[in-house]
Amino acid sequence: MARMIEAAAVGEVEPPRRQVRDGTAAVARTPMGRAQRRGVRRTVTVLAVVIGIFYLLSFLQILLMK
Amino acid sequence: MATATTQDLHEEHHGAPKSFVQRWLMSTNHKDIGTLYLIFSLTMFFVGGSFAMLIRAELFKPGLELVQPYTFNELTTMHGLTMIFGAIMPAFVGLGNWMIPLMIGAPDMALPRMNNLSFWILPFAFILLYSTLLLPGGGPAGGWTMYPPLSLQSGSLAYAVFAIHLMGISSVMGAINIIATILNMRAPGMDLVKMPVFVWSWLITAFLLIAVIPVLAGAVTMLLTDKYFGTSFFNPGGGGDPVLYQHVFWFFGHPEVYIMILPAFGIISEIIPTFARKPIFGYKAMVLAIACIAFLSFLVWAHHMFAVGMPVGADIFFMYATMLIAVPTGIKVFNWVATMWGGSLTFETPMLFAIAFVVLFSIGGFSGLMLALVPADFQYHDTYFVVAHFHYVLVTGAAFAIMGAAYYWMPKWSGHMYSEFWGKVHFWCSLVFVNVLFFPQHFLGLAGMPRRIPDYNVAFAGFNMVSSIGGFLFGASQLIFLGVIIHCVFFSKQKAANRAWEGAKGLEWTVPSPAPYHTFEVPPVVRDEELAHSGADD
Ligand code: HEM
Ligand SMILES: [Cu+2]
Repeated sequence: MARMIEAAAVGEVEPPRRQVRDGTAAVARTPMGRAQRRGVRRTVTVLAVVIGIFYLLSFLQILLMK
Repeated sequence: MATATTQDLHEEHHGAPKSFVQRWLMSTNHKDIGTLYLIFSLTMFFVGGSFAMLIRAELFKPGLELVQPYTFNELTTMHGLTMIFGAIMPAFVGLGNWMIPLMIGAPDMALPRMNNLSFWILPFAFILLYSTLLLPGGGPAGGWTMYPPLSLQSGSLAYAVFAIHLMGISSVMGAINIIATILNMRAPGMDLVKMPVFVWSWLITAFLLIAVIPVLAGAVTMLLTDKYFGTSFFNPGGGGDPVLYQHVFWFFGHPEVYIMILPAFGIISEIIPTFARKPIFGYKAMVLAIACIAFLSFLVWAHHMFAVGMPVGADIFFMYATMLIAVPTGIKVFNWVATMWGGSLTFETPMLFAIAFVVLFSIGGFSGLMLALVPADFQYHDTYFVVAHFHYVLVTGAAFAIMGAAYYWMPKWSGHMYSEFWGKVHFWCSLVFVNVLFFPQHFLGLAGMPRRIPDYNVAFAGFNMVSSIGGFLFGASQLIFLGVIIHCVFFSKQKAANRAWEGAKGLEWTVPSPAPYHTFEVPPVVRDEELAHSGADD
């Protein structure tokens, strides 16, 4: 799937039909859209790591303190 | 840039999916998900409101009249959890879903499918929570704060804990989505310092959520292990300490109360400039004040627990830290008033709610300052004075802002104007009765009436009856709100203009009313004169 979107983004193939349902998919083909998706991926990765650490600390303290 | 983005995307302009399941259950559209959140929140306002009506009915007269004490405690617990996690927070998420992409010129939220998941977790979480009311041992009854050892007595603790985990995960996913959207999906030219204050307030709130929801998760999990896995975090018998729970809970809890007010600050900062026909006074100061309040909210948690007997140094630190928050809050109130000053004001329903917010939220702020004084709080703590305080900030604060926002943006959502007459009736009834409901509770608290009790000394009878009458009438007034919404969405003949309000600025007013299913698939050209704040001044 990721490969298909990538290919669609550079205009090699038509975008997979299902994708069109998301509002964001419409712009995913444009250079700006691709830049946005890269940005979103980066933001989500950072946030996921931070939240993961927070949750981990919360639960780790339970294991350590018990 | 502009040429690359305006390529022909014509074939993708299409409407909503036809089938009900596709459109609503599997929705990835920010407007539909926003609508789902708003409907859910309104439903929960009425569910939580029904609990409140029962509470006020029991307190109408001294003596045990209607419900058993245990049931009464279940009611206060469920009322609190429902209003916080079911009504106020989802209302803000719904408003954010609808308006943030429209305000920053994005085609949708950054993560549309996760958006669907964060919403659909909520109904299940609440079904799980309410199911405990039907269990043999009864539901949780230790209050929304769930202090041990009281909360540990409930046989349904595990259900409540799991429900809270679900609500927390839903909030965290919502926060990730909002941050990712605001940081990455803005239209070219929509710089951070040109964003509407509502968007800023949500960005900051989302960071608060991410920081404190895991703490809540940790706190309630420790309750769970204390009850079922033989740990003694909070059990002195095993070397634990119940006060530890209060520290951990309020490290979450105080930022949480700001999570419920910062987006309201954002809403008021949208409404007042529109109806004053002036840009917001001190845009940067407004944004900085929100950030400052958010930061300080991590340093004040122990003002909820002065009565546990902390070292004097701690008491003094938390007292002054708490009072420090009055500074950025004062800046905000000053700037709202300064925005109105010299403006050409009109008083449509959203503006009425906004003005009432400024005045009544400030009353809540003042009683908060009184509570922040350590020696005074020794007397006020756990009395109706606290109940009066937080209902001023949450009902006439957060809930009034949400109602104002609903009136303000309903024309954009539905394509029709609501009935201004009935909107005003709703406003004036709410305004009068909410004060009849909550103002006497200050006196009750000062006279020593404890909170969370089903029966009370006859000395408190008069004010309680007044408060209950106010409560019933305030509850009934909200049926007018429901009527106005149903009329506006389904029956109103008056079409809304794209720019529904004469003085309204911002990208959301450049799209048609109702907002089409897809907007800004081609990023808009951001022109400074369209924006509420162009970044040119201050
Ligand atoms: C102006 C700044 C504020 C100050 C100085 C302040 C101070 C306080 C203090 C000292 C208490 C503890 C009282 C006690 O239990 O003895 C308290 C309780 C509370 N405050 Fe505030 N507050 C402020 C603003 C707010 C806001 C904006 C909200 C929510 C939107 C809020 C919501 C609450 C709630 C829910 C409680 C009660 C929690 C409970 O025990 O169930 N407060 N406040
Ligand atoms: Cu607090």
